[in-house]
Amino acid sequence: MRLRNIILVLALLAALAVSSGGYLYYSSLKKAAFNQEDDHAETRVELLKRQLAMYLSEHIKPVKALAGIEELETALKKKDTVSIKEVNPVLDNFAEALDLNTCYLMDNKGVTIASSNRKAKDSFVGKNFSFRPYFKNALAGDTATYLALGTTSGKRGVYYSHPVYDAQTVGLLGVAVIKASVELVEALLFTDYQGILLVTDPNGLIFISNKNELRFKLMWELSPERIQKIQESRQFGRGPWPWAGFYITEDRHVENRYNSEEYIYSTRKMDNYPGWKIINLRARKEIGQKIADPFLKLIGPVILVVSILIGGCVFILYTKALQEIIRRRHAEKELRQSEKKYRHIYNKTPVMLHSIDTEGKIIRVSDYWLEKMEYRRNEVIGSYLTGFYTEKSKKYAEEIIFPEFFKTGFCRNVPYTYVKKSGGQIDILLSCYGVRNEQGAVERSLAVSVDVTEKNQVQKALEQAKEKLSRYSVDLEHQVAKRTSELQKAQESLRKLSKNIMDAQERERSALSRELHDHLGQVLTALRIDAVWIARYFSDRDANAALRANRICSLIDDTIADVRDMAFKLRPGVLDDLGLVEALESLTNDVEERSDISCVFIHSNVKNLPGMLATVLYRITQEAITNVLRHARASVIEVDLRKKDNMIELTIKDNGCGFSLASDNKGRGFGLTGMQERAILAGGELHITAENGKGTTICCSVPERSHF
Amino acid sequence: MIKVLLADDHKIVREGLKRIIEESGDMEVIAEAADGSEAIKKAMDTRPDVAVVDISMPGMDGLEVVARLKDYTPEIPVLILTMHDEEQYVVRAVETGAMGYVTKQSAPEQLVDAVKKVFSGSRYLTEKASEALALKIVKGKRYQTGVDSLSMRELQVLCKLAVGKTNHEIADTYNISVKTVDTYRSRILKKLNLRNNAELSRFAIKNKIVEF
Repeated sequence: MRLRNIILVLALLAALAVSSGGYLYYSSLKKAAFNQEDDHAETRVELLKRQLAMYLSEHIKPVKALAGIEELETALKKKDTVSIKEVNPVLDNFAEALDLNTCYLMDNKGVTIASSNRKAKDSFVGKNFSFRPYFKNALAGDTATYLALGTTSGKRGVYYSHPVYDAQTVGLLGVAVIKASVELVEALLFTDYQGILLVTDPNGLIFISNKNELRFKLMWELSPERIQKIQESRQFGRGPWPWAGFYITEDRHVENRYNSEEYIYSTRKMDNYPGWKIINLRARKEIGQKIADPFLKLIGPVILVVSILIGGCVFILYTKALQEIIRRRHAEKELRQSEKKYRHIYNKTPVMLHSIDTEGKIIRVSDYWLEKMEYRRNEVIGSYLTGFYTEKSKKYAEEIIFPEFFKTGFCRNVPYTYVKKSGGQIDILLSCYGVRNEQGAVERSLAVSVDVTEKNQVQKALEQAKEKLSRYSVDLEHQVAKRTSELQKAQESLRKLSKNIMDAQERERSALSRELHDHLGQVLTALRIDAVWIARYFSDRDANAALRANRICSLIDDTIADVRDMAFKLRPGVLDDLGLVEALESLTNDVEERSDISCVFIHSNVKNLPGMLATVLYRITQEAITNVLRHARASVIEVDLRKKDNMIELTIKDNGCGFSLASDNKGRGFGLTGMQERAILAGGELHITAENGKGTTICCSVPERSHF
Repeated sequence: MIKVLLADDHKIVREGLKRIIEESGDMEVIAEAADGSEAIKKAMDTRPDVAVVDISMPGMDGLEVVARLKDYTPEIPVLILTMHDEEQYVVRAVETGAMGYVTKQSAPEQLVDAVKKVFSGSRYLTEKASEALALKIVKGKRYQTGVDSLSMRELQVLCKLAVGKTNHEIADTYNISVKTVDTYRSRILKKLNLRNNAELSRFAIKNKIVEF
C-alpha cells in the first residue's frame, strides 16, 4: 500500500516538475516575446510618426505655390465671374495633379469663392470657413496645416493653407487651401497591422485609426466641459464622441473597460501638431497567442511523450509493486503456514526438544520431552530449565554452559541429568543451537536432548569388561613375554650348544686329522723309508725279497694316500697351516681333480681371518660344492671370496639346474639350513638364490671380526 | 762332505732320513732338532751347509723356521721335507724363502739329490710343484683379461696347449681322460673368447703365461 502511494506521489512530482519546467520555459519565452514586441511597437510608432510627419508636410510647398499664382490674386481682387472662371481650372489642375481631395480659395472674410469641388453636391463655394484655425493662422501670414473633419463634406482631411497677397499693396487678399484626404493616409500607413494604431488630438479624440469602430471616439474618459469645448471648436463635427473605454492600469499598460482586454501602450507626440499623439496598442492576449501557439505545437508532443513515459513507468512500477506485494503476502502466508508446520513438527518430533529464552525460562517443549519427563505442558512453560536438573547439572549449566552458550550460540553433547516428575533421573546429552535476533544476540535456544541413560549403563558395563579384559591381556602379555624370554634363552643356549658342538666337532676333527696325517702318516713314512731301504738292499741279492719289499712300499704309499685323504676330509691341514684362501684353493683344485667340473676360485683382499671364521666359510663352501656335485649337474662352479667394508663376502655360484626354493623343500636336505646356521653363528647372513634351470647362487656375508 | 741339519719331530722318521742322507756317502747329519726353536738354535750353533726342515712341528712350524733362518742365517739354504703334498704348501714355502721342497713319501728317491741341488745354490722342486708355482704367479698377475676366470686346472691345460702339447699328452700328465681335456679346452676358448689352439698360443705368449 505504501509503495503504491509512493509511486503515485513520485508520478505526480514528475508531472509537476515537467509542467513547472514547461511553464517556466513558457514564461521566459513570453517575457522575451513581450520585450521583443515592445521594441517592435516602439519602432513602429516611431516609424509611423515620421511617415505621418512626412506625409502631413507634403503639401506645404504646393499650397505656397498655389497662393502665388496670379489668377488667384486677380480673382480675389475682382471677384467677378470671369476671373473666377480662370481660377477654377488652376484649382482643378492642382487637385488632379496632386491627387488632392479639394483645392479652394477663400477671401479675407473666410468665404470660399472658388473650389475644385464646385460641381459636387457638397461644394465649398460660398461657404464660410473663417472659424477654422488654418484660416486664422493664414491670416496671420503663416502656412498652416490642420487636421479636421470636414463640416460640409463630413470627410476627414488635412488642411494646408497659405495667404494670398496683393502684389502691389502687399495687402492680404484671401487664403488658398488644399485639403488632402486622411483616408488615403489611413489606408496607406495604418492598415496591415493586427494591433491598434491611433492618432489622437490633444483631448484624446481618436482621429485616425486602423479600426473603424474607434474613429471619433474618446481615448480617455473626459469631463462634459471638455467635450463641450470640442463641440465648440467644430473641428470634429457635432459629435457625440463616446469613450472608447481605455484607461491606464500601469506604466504603458491600458485596459479596455468594455471587453476587459489588456493592451501594451506605446505613444509618440507628433511634431508640428502640439498635443497630437500617435498611439499603438497591442493586445497582450494576442502576443500570448503568438507565443503559445508555436510553443504548444513544439512542447505539446514532448509533454505528451513525457507524460506517456511517466505513465508507462508508473504503470510498470505499479505492476511490479503489485507483484511484490502479492509475493510478500504469499510469502507471509507461507511463513505463517511454515510456522504452524514448524510448531507441529517441533511438538510431534519424537525427540526431546526444548527452547529457552535469555533468562533460561522454557518457552517451548516437544511432546516427547513432556512424555519423557512426565510433565504437562502448562507445568513446564515459563519455568526455569535448570529446575529440571539435578543440583550438579544445574551448577554446571549456570556456571559453565549458559555463559558459554549465550556467547558462542551453540553447544554440543553436554552431559546433564534431568529429574523426572516422579523423581527418576535421566542422563542426557544436550546439543543446543542459539537463534539470534537481528542484532546478532542469542534470543532463544533450540536444544535437543538425547537420553543416554541406557547407553551410559551399557558403556559402564563395557568399560568394566574392557578393564577386566585389559587386565587379562596384561597378564597374558606378561606370560607371553616371559615365555618368549624363556624361549629366547632356550634358543640362545641351543645356539650356544650348537656352536659348542660344532666347535667341539671341529676341534675333534682337527685333532683326528692331525693325528692321522702327522702321526700315522709319519709312521707310515718311516716305514716306507725302511721298506725302500730293504728293497734296495735286496735288489741285487734276493730278487724275491726285493719284490716283497717293493710291494710293502706301494702298500704303504696307498695307505698314506688314504690317510691323507681321510685327514683332508676331516679337516684340511691347509686351513690351519696356511689359511682360508689356500684351503679354498686346495678345495677347488681337489674338486677339479675329482670331477669334470671347472671350479674357479677368485679372491681379493682376504688375509688373516680368525680360525673360527675361516672354518665357517670353509665349511659353507664345502657344503655348497658338495650340493652342486650331488644335485646340480653343473659344469662350472665359481667361488668368490672378497673383503668389502669389513665384511667378508663369499659367493658360490653354479650353472646347474637349480631348484625352486618355494616348491622344493630340499633346503634342509641340501644342508642349506646348516649353512645358514653357521653364517648366523658367525654374526652374518646367508642368502640362497635358486631358480629352476638357472643355477644356484649362495651369498654369505659375515663381519670380518665376528664375535664368537 | 755336505753338513746337514735335520729338523723333524718324529724320531723314527728322523732316523730314517738320517740313514738315507748318510748312506749317500758325501753328506752327513751334523745336528738334529725335534722342534722349530731347537732347529734355529742348532742351525746358528752348528752352521750346517743345508737345513732340512719339516713343516708340521710342535711349537714353531717349519715355515716359521724358514722365515727365521732367512733372517738369522741367510747363507744356509733350507729344504722343506714334509708330509703335505698340496701345492699351496710348496708355494708358501718358496714364498717364505725355502730353496727346495720334497715330500717325505718321495724322500728315499729324491732327498739326496735335493740336498745336493740346494747346496749347489739351485732350487729343488718337483715338476708338479714347479708348475703350481708358475701358475700361482700367472694367477697373481691380474692384468690379463679373462685369466682370472679360469680355474687352476683350466690354467694348467691352457699352458700345456699353448706349448703345443696334444690332448693325449695332457690327459696322461694329469691322469684324466682325453674327453675331459677336450671339455677343458672348449671352456678355455669360450672364457677367453678365442677360436682355436693357435689363437690360444698367441694369447698365452702375449700375456706371458708361457715362455719360449
